[in-house]
Amino acid sequence: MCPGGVSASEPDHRSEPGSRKGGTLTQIAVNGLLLGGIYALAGVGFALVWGVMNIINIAHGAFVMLGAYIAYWVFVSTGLDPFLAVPLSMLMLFVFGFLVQRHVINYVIRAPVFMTLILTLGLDMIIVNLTRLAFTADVRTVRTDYIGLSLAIGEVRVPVVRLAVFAAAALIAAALSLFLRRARLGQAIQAARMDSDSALLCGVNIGRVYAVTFGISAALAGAAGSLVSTVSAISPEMGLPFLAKSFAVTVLGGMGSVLGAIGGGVLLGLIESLTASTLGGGYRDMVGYIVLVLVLVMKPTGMFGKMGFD
Amino acid sequence: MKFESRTARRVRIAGLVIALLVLAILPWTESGYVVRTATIVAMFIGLSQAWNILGGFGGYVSIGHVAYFGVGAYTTGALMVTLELPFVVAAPCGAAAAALLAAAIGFPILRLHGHYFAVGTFALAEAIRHLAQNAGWLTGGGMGFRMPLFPGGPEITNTFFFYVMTAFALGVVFLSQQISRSRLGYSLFAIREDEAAASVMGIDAPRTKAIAFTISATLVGLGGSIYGYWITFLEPTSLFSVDISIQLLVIAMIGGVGTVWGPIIGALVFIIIGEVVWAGFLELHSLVMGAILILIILFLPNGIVDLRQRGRTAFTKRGMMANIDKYHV
Repeated sequence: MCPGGVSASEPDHRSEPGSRKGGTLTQIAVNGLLLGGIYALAGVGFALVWGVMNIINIAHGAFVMLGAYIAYWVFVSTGLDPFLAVPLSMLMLFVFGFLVQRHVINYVIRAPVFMTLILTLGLDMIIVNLTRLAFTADVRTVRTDYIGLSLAIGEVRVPVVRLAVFAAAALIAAALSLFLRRARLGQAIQAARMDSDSALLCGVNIGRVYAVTFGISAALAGAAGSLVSTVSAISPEMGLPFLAKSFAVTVLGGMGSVLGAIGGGVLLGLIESLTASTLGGGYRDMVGYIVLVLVLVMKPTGMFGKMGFD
Repeated sequence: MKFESRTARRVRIAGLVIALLVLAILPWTESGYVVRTATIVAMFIGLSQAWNILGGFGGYVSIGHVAYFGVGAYTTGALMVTLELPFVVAAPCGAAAAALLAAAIGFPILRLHGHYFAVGTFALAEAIRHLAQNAGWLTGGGMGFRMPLFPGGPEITNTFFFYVMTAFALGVVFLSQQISRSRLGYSLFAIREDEAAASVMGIDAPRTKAIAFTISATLVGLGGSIYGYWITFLEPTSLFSVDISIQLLVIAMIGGVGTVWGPIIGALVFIIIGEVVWAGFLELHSLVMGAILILIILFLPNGIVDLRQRGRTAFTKRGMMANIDKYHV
């Protein structure tokens, strides 16, 4: 790494990277990359469920929110670092997702679009309401000691927390990719994605595979949430933007491939970062959505991924 | 159309007349709260019915219809403020703006199917919301802007908007019923069941879908125009809220997607339950509503209108589990 040194700066790190206008191209790219890492992690689980089960999980944003609250709760009650809370929140959300799929969603898994859409919406409303009851609607923050640190590499400033979040997201995504390729269960998930009936004939227990897939998806959302808690404020309503980003990541990257989701996430991050520095932060989300619609209309299979089933 | 005995027809007409009479005298006998709630119910009957023309008849589930609602409201508001047009002129212009928008994006976005269409409409609506929030010169931005107040006291305002909204709802229901029996309606049903087969039979699917989309969006835009003048304060986060898009589909779902009665029953049930829950368990509002949604999807996926079809078996164990047996793995 280039010499540059670590300096404590004023706590402007809480504003999203790339919400300020201007900046060099390298800085914009770095901001976009760091932002994209977390989008990719939040979106990859969503894409997995969409690809494998043909379900748009509206509650995915709520899973991200739960992950953030688990990290917050661990931090407040034990003082443990939010990064160390990631495995715990992944485990808890895996179990939660597994049970939800097994006992609720499984009953409408072959139903038309709007049914699964509304079912998961109902789930989302319940989760958000319960969280609001447990933690109140107050906006909360996790204040770690290293929060203001940033690396200066030449002109480019890289907030340390965001770099760590990116690294953790990349690590988890790599582990997921390895799991889907190598593990027997992972291969069963791939098979179920490609053709669930043939997979069933080959002895794959589809019901269990679906539940595991949903659990993994929830665990990834939980990991994303816990990581996000270190860089931005959390509240029971924080899920919706993550749901929207997950839509975008899935459409840009295609469904079912981890690499596609990462590509989609990074692309979205870069687009947003570039928009923020040219048009201003307010237009960041708008341009993201417009690109999403354009990609949908012109290349519905995603920028990189294979066509999922419809 | 089914044959109807003369008595059945008379009963139906008598029912309609009584319903209209009740609606006509309602603002004079009930409190302001009841009248306002009834206005909301009427609005959602109209909006959800309009959504149903594309989403129910055609099977293209949009979760972005709030875009036309907001565009209608904003256009009407802008025309009334800047050009000082009267409401009767500005409201149709609002609907026309929604129609133009829908006609422009109809063909490309309707190439998408299923989930992709749903996500595409959502993204478009969100893009428009962000535009409304940021383009301050056009919309007043996040601060919003104020429309002229309806001349007259709160009583008269309530009564006026109740009648206007009720007329809107009745109009949309009538139109939707006519469509469901027309060539357009049958084409949409065919597209919903199997688009490829419909095309083979000679139905111009892209055109049919675009027409249905435009009609649906125009009516939603008209509803938005009326709503905007009613609340008089236009502000992007509430007028373009994704919650409204979702409510339209939830209401149709509760009543019965793809039927004319569905949105009517759905809006009544959804808004009234919502009011009761607000009053009784404020803190648990979305918890209760969420639970109701899940139960309806699991046990009554074709909506409340399906109860009549299922008849006596509806509440037996077998009747309840019919759906669950059908869709799980």
